[in-house]
Amino acid sequence: MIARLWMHVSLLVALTFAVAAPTARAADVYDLDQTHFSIVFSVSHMNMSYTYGMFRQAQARVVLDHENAANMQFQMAIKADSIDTNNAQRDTHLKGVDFFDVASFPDITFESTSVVLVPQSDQPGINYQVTGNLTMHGVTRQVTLPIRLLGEGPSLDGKPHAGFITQTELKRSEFGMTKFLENNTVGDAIAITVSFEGIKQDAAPPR
Amino acid sequence: MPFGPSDLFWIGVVPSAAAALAMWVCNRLLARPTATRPAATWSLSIACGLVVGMVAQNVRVGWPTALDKLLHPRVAIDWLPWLVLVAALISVLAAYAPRSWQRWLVALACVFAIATPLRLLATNASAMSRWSLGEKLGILAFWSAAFAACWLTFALGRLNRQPLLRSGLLVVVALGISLTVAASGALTLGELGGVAAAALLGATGIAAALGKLADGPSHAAGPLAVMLGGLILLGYSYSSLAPTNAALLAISLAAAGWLPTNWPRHSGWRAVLRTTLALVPLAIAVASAVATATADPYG
Repeated sequence: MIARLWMHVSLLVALTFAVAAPTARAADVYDLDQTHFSIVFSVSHMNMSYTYGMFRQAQARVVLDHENAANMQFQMAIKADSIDTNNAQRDTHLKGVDFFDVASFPDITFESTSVVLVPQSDQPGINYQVTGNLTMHGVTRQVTLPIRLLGEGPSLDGKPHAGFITQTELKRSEFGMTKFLENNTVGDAIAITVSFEGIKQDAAPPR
Repeated sequence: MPFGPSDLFWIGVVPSAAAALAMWVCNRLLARPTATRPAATWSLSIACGLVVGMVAQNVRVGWPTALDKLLHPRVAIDWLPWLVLVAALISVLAAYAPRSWQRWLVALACVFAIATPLRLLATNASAMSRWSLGEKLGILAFWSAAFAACWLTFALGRLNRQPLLRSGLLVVVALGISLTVAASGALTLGELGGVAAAALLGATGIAAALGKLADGPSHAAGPLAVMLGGLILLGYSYSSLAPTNAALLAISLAAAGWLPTNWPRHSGWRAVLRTTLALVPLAIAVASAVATATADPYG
C-alpha cells in the first residue's frame, strides 16, 4: 500500500517537473546590432609604429543563458573584403593574394564550441572563457577568447540589447599569412578588439 | 616596398641557377645520341627553374611553410608549380612519343588547357558564388582558349627563328608582367614574374654558351604558357590587375612568341617589328599600373 502510494507521489512529482520545464527561463538570442559594433586590429610596422584597421561588415549571433553558461553560443562572420586601414592602396593589397586573399576566402568566421563562466574576475561585467573555431584565410584553429558581457537592457530603440567585448592577440603566420614577416616588416602578432551589441530576438534559440 | 638582396637571391639567383644547371645536366650528362631532344631539354630546364623558384619564394618564410605549400596546395597560386610540371611532362612526352601518338598528345594538351584555368579559378570562392553556370562556362572557355593560344603561339615561334631575340624579349615581358602585377596589388605574383624571367635567363644563357640554343624558348611553350598566362589570370582574378592591362600583357606575350608573317623580309626589320609589338603594349601596361599605384603604403 505504502509502496503504491509512493509510486503515485513520484509520478505526480515527475509530471509536475515535466510540465514546469518549458516555462523555465530559456536562453535568449541576440543578433548583431549593425550600428553598434567595432572589429579593430593593430599590427606593428617595422617595429616603428602600429597600423590600425577595422572590418566594416559582419554578422553575429549570441545565445545568452544566465543560468547555464554551457548553453551559450557565440557566432560571428566577418566580411574580409570590408577591411579598412585608412589607405585604399594598402586595403587593395591586404585583400589580395599576399594577405587575406578575399577572392578565395571571403569570410572570417568564429563559432564557439564551449563557454565557461569565469566566477571571479577583476574585470567589470560578466566574464566568460569562450573556446571555439576561428577560420581565417582558409585555416581553422581553436582559440579561447575572454568575452565580457558589459551590460544589457533596453537601448534607445526600445529593444533589449546586450553588449560584449573581447580582446585577444593572434599570429597571422598561424593562419598562413606570411608575407612581409621578414625583419618584422609587417608584424606577425595582430592585436584584435571586438566590441558589439546584440539585439534580442523574439524567436527561440537554435538547437 | 621591402625587397633586398636576400629576396633577389631567392627569387632571382636560385631559379636562374636551377634552370641553368638543369640545362647543363640535360645537355652534358645525358648527351648521348637522341638521349635528349630540345623540347625535353628546354621544358625540363624551364620547369625546374620555375618550380625551384616558386619553392624558394616561400623558403624565405621557412622550409616547413615552403614544403607545406608545395605538398598541400590550398590556394590557386599553390597549384602553379604542379601545373608547370604537368605542362613540362606533356612537352617531354610529345618530344619522345611516336608520330602516331601526336594526335592523342594534342588532345591531352587541349584537356590540360581547359584544366589549367579550371584549377586556378576553382578556389575563387567569391566569384564562384557570384557567377551563374553560364558565366562560369563562358569564362572557362575564354581562359582555356587563351591558354591554348598562348601555348600554340610560343610553340610556333620556332617558325620565326631569332631564338635569342625571342628569349630576350620573353625575359623582358616576364619582368613587365612582374612589375604590372606587383603594382596592381599582388607582390607575391610579381615575384613569380621575376622567377620566370630568371629561369628563362638561366636556361637561355647556358644553352647559348653550349651552342644548344636550337629554337629557344619555343621548346618550352607549355611551362612558359602556364606560368606567364597563369600570372595574368591570377592577377586579374585574385588581385586588381585591370582588364586592359591584362589584355596588353597578353598581346605583349604573343608578340614575343610568334609573328604570323615573314614581312618585312629583312630579318633586322622583323626584329624591330617584333620588339616594337612586344614592348609597346608592355610599356603601356607597366606605366598604367604604376601610375595608378600611389605611394608605397609600407614605406
